[in-house]
Amino acid sequence: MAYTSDTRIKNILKDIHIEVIKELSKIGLGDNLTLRVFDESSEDGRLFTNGGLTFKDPNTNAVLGSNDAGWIYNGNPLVIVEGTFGTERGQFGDGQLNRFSHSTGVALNGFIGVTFVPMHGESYSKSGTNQTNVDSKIKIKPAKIHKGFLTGAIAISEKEKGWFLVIDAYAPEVLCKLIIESVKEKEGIKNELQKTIDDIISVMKFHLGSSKYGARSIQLITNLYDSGGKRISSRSRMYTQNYAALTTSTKRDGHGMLGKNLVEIYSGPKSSNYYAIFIRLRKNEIKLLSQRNSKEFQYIFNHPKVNVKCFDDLKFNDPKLKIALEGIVSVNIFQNRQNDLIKAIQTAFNNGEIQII
Amino acid sequence: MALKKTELLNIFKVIPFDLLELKGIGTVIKMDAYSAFDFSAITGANYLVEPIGVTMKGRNETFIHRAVFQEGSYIYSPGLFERNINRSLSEGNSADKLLRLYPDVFSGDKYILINEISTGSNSNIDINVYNEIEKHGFNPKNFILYKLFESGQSQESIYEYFTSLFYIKKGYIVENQTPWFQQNYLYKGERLNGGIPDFSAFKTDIINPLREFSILSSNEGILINKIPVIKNFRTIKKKTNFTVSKVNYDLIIGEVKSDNSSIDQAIRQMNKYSNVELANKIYSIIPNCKNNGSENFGEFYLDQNILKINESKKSLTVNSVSQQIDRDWINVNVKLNLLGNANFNLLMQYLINKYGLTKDEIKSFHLIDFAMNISIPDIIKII
Repeated sequence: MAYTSDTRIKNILKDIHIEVIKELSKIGLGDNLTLRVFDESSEDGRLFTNGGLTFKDPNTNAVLGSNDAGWIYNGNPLVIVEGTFGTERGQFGDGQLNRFSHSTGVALNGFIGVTFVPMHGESYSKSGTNQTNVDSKIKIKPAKIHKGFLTGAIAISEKEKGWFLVIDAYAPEVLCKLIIESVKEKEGIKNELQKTIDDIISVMKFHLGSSKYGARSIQLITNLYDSGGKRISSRSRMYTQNYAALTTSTKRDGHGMLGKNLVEIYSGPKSSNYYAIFIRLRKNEIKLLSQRNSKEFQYIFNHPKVNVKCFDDLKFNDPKLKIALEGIVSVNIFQNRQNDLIKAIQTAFNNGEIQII
Repeated sequence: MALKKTELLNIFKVIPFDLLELKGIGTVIKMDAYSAFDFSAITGANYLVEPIGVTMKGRNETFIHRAVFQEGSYIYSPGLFERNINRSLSEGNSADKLLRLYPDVFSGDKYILINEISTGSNSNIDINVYNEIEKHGFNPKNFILYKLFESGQSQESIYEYFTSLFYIKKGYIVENQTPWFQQNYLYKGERLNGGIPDFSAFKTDIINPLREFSILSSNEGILINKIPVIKNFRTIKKKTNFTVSKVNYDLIIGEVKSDNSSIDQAIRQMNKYSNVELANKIYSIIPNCKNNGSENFGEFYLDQNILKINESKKSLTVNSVSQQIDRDWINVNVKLNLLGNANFNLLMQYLINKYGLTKDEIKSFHLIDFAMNISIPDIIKII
């Protein structure tokens, strides 16, 4: 059958729980530990305090993404897990950021949030590569965990109250150990919780390598200036979606946008303000979006650390660049890439030739 | 049309399944282990073999999309067989492993307990029900918990289950949440969108060897989820004097809704399925919809607790080339599922020998290639 990976994830997490209880029972523990998991994912979306698996951002009160299962100790969150096999089901790039807010919510509230995902997935795809000595109908495209995802998770773990850990879905023993050591820590007995967390973060850093966030991005802005020539940000982003892209395929674009915002807010320089600049939107469209009942837009437009700007907030030194940007307002960028123009606009921002009014 | 518990019990009674009154528990549906497996695998109902509840749903994932819609490519996902952190093939939900972990699933009568979940209540009640059953002196491991939501949510799988019973009796292999395609498929110059059909029933020439080796009984079909664990239910052995019969490719697709109010959505979806010209027949499966208003699609509906069928007035156009590609894909899928019965270490040895690699070098794609090139009799030798 072709279920979403939810069913498979939940089966795996239940199997992990059975194993955890078995191990804890050997040392007389486990009575205070329960697993909160629902057969259907709609209940995941209730707030944790209402019996669900979802958390609010304590800074903004906005609801973040839901999780798949939660280990609870004496009624309180212990380890909350969001699982996905997206890296094996065609999620190669920024689509992975769709889930970033889920474990973020847990960590911001001071608990251990885990995203359980294959760090190195194998997606089977008609546009993949033939493998040696097997039928030509079998083609594979590898998908590695998004480095931005890891960057954001590490930053949140370092800066915030809780932990945002990424564990390989094919290393369930690591998740097992994390839960067991967490229980021991709560019980006040000798434990290896901190070492376990440190080991997990080491693996995350290993997969991140020496990657510099956004090095190849044509939308990240590292120098943003106001019209007085003052540098106002060293980490901002221009978003290229137009109104149609954000409202007719909102679910996908909104989730990814939220993920990117979160990664960049938390991983950027602490001293820098963050600007989300919607270069193809006008003020009236921003207003309409801010009124939509979508948690992604509500989060971005109300976050105290996110300054939302649009085309009307920009001053162009080069009028031709302004006209060129106006000319692509209605273009479907997904089907008709405008990379050269976007790159030129990025350069103009970084050089101070486009400023924020 | 949100089913209530009494209505659902009445449908089971008519099938017929035995209903029993258990003191302190209430009315339960009695099924043998063989039948109960299908119920859990399709609806997601949890066996209370552990307090947390364990389902047989979602344990035999092989292909996510059909090859005919992917330019012939096989779009695989681990699930039935797993992989490890180094991407080497590993045992997943094999017959041996599931028997080892959950032996009570495969023997003994089971009692389906229907719990109504009121709107707004949390449904993770398995531990509570487990304890309650124990308190009344019964063994929870003999029970399967089915959660019936007052809101009507998640009831579609019940109709998938009843339709499965119908087609299994007619000798089909059945599957719910059918692999199809999701994004664009270019067909006759047009970009078509797909979906995930709720239900399918199919036959290909692979039915013959499955019958010959007693994986299927003489007349009945099977739920595809059960193929990987069939040896836990019956002895796989060659029948003497087996006669091969002609079995043509036949694919039936069903779109399920729990109420007639969603008929327009169902028709839109069925139109998408028919546009690709693969299925021989397409039905709406809606309990209170006797007439879906389309000449192209038949209907399954409930009439006094009995599932009834109306045939469509018109036949669908099918593409025989597409069906040939799909037939090959179905056969590989069935063989992969059947390999779930093999002792995993022995299977690995076959793969190591065939590809001249070490255990760590054997990947999922070797298994798929192996399944593409092996016959059912040769799989039986491994099992």
